[in-house]
Amino acid sequence: MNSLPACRYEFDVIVVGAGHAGTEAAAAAARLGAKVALLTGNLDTVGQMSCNPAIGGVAKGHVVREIDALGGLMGQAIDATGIQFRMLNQRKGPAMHSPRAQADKKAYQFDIKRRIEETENLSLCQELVEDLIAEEVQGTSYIRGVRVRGGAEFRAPAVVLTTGTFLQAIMHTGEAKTAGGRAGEGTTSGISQALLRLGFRVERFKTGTPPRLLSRSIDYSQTERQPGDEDPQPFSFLTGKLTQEQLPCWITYTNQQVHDLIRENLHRAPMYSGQIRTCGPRYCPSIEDKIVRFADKTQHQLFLEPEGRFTQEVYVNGISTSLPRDVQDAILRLIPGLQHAQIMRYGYAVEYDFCPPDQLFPTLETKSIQGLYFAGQINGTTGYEEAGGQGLIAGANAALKLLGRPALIPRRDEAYLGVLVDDLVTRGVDEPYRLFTSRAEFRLMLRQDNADRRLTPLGHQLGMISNERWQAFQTKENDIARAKELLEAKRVEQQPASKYLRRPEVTWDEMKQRIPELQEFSRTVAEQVEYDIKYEGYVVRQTQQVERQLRLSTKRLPADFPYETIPSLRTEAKQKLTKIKPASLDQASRISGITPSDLAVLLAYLEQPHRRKTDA
Amino acid sequence: MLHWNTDDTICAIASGTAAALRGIVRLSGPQAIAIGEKLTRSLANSPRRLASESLSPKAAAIEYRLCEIDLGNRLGWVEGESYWWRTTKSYTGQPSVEFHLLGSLPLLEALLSQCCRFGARMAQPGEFTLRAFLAGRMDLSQAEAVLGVINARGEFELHRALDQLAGGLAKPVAKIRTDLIHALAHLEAGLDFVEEDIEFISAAELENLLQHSLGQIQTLQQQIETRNVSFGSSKIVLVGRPNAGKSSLFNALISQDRAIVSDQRGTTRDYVAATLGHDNLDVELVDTAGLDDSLYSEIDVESQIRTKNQMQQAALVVHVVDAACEVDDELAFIKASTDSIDHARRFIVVNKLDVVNDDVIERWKIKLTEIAANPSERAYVFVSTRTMRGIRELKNQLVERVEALTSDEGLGMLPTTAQRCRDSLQRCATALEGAIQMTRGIGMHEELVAAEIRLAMEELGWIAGEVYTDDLLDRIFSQFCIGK
Repeated sequence: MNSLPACRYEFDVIVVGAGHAGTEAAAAAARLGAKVALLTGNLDTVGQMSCNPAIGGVAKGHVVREIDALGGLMGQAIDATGIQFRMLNQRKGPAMHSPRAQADKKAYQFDIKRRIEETENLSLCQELVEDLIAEEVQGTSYIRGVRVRGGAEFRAPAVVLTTGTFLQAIMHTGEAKTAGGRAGEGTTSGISQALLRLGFRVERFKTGTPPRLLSRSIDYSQTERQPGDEDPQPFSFLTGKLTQEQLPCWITYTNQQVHDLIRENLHRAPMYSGQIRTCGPRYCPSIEDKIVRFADKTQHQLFLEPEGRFTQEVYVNGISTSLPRDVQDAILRLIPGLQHAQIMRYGYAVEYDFCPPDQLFPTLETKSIQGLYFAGQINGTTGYEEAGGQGLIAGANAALKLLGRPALIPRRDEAYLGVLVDDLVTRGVDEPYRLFTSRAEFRLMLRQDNADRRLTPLGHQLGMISNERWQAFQTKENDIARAKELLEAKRVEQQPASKYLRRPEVTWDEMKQRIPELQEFSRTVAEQVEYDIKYEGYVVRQTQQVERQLRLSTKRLPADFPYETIPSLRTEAKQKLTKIKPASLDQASRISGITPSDLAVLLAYLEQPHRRKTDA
Repeated sequence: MLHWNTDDTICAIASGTAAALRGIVRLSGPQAIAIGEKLTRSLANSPRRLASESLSPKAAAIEYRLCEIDLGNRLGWVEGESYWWRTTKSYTGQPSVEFHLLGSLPLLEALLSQCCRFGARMAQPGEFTLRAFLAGRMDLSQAEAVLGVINARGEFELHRALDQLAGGLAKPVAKIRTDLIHALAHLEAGLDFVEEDIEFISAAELENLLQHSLGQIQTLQQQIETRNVSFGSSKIVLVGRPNAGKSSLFNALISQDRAIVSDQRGTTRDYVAATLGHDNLDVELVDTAGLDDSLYSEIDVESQIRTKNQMQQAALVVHVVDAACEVDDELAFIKASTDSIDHARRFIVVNKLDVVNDDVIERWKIKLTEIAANPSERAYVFVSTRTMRGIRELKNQLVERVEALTSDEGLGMLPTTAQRCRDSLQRCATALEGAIQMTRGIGMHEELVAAEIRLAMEELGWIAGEVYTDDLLDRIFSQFCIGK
């Protein structure tokens, strides 16, 4: 290796880690014109799905649509490589419809990798980052870049960390402990040490993954078949029609014997033996957790999900475990269809470092070091979709700040991405964070089908949207407007057609028969018109709530607002506000323990210097 | 959380809630004028300026109008005065209206209800001051004093008031909220975890749960209506036979010619009220129609009922007797008419001391001691409203007793809180009715039902003055085995 300054590379934005967060971050920054370096420890695992071979689901599918509406990668990649597509919750209202797809794991990651490689302004490099370079200038800390194994330096005014589960990672299978963030891979400790040195709070979470089985050793005749939708719907607003052949998944169940076996071996499970003390997600419990916490349940559902078209590997969704290998083997012997199943990879739990996200601004920039951004599991979240969404926001904001443009901070009423980021930075996390639709107070407005209408104009305004996407969007909006005009003009059953369509039992198909001119409109356009009309009353009501919040969000709170010096603020409020540094009164109102009276006091002080003399 | 918005139009009683000669309701915010117009009709032909522009620009911004004010179906139109600030030159820097009317709490509350009905909401404690401050009407050091107490006062008074309303609202509201979370958790689990192997709630079960909660809300609504909001206030009610001299005593106590006093039996057909100012405590003094077992007419029946209501709500019931009447008869009557009143809340005033001799007084003393709940405590006073003898002592005694009886109770906040609770309960009930409707409809959309339940819960949160976060997910995860 050469000695110093020879190996020094200059970029605008450096993204560390090329998983779901890192790839979206790098692509978003590059789309905005920044010169980006995407550094990964292993070029062969770019965009890898470490856990289940699926994208989407309730709330998560919404996020993928939002990422796509902002020009992200995930939607197009899954449309290209999905092997089964289902729209969940179809029997409920449109706000609940949620796309989910099984992916061909390898195809997906190569598709992502290819998209990254083809992106202008983006350099994908295999480098292991070992240290962060920061500098303090007149009391303010700035990120300067990263140092990689071998001593080379990548310099940039903005760095996005998307390190996943790789920080000081330990994998557990029964009593066996291995250092590493994913089966067969290593871990990094340099970044954790750098974060501690730079003054970040670092804590630990745990997550788990189930065993993978050999397909031809499974007796599918003892299981239930779960096919994809007959009329599969794509994730990306740019995808026309999905034409690939779909593969089924299969369902089987645990039973009392399995549960007894697990109970007998609980003392060997790291979560119960005391070997793991950190917190895992409640909504994604290990099988041992399920059996302890819901002792009266006699069976648990298991999904057998193919990992791809060209592999025999099958993911067993529902049986995430860190029990020892011999217990994992024994469990399978008792499950219908899996009696002779061969484990290709054993399940394991992984513990890793994360930085509590209340250390971030809503741009995902850290409060203490300018230009340093975090996205994905380092923020205490789980899920590919949550990671991808944060990556897009962090990457875009890193570039937007360098360009001197306004930040990308979707509001809670605009996007699940807004809910996600606001929850993280305002409330912090006490278990690995995952999105649910119940976290969104404006759920009825945040439909998966209107993600483009909610976000594409914003993306266009910020310069993140390709011309192709913008043209397609405008055409669609035009069609929607024309269809609505038509419905206003025509009469059905002595009333405007738009009013008639409001009835719950009236369908678009019926409208098409009554008004033949409607036949020219595509299904996506019809959906927008119909849902807009049917949800109108609720949307109006929620809009009123939104407007209230908006007024509060215009009351900006500077990051250096001197909360400590306000005598009439309660001590608890002072502490919390000083810690969270809310960007506006609106965000302050959502900090737990902040009362309306605290807000009133803040408002008084906030408005104080701008007071107008209106008294004659 | 967002109730501090300065774009809302707010209203409150601005004159203190103890009854006074004059009661003031203040209305301020962008909609103040519009709401005010809906609630009034002018008596005088044209609005009057208080001063000419050249004399005082500040006063010139105020319009004065004699008007009738609409207090709703039950009370109808009453006469009053109003002051209008159509520009920003008001106390709060926003369009404002002040209504001045008879200082009776029920009237003022009715007016508040009307304001809310037309789009205003009840002000939070200190909210007018905050707006005044934001409008530059006072400097920070002046505002600081008020801001400093907003936190402490708001919370303290809220809890006090909730405890008193309808026999304690906080607990039943918390219970209903728990029930609703239970229902919502089932719904939400069904929405968010559709792929899970969980038996979620049926429409019929859900409807049952919601009906149950709605029933409880309606019970609370009734309780608030029947238990007058003034329950727990520092109210002294004067009762007694017609012509025992209650109104004379009332006037002597407040030293104002407020009640109409005459020597014709039964002059006071309804009740009149005034504030008995004493140090820091405002005590409301209420004069009532005479209690009588002989009934004259239907109007009198109503007066009697009103009198009995007043007695139920009073902190202290003062029975006024004529010293010249037959002692045993009078005592029997006192016993009969105030039997339902807790003895600690009963006090006897023997009036017309000047028309009887010492023997009579002695006989009164003996008999009164006999019937006293606690012989060591003297629960009576002799006075003469003509010579004013004993009036000062009586006044001191009354205030002392009321202070003792009500010291634990949050005064003043009560009516405001009651109004807010009424509003919230009504909205809560409407939301639940909507939810129930939808559970019956074809193709029930759970997310819409959930939206209504969330709305209902938000209103309950307002009543309890608490903001809840995240316990829905706790519920879901503790109830269902979620996760693949």
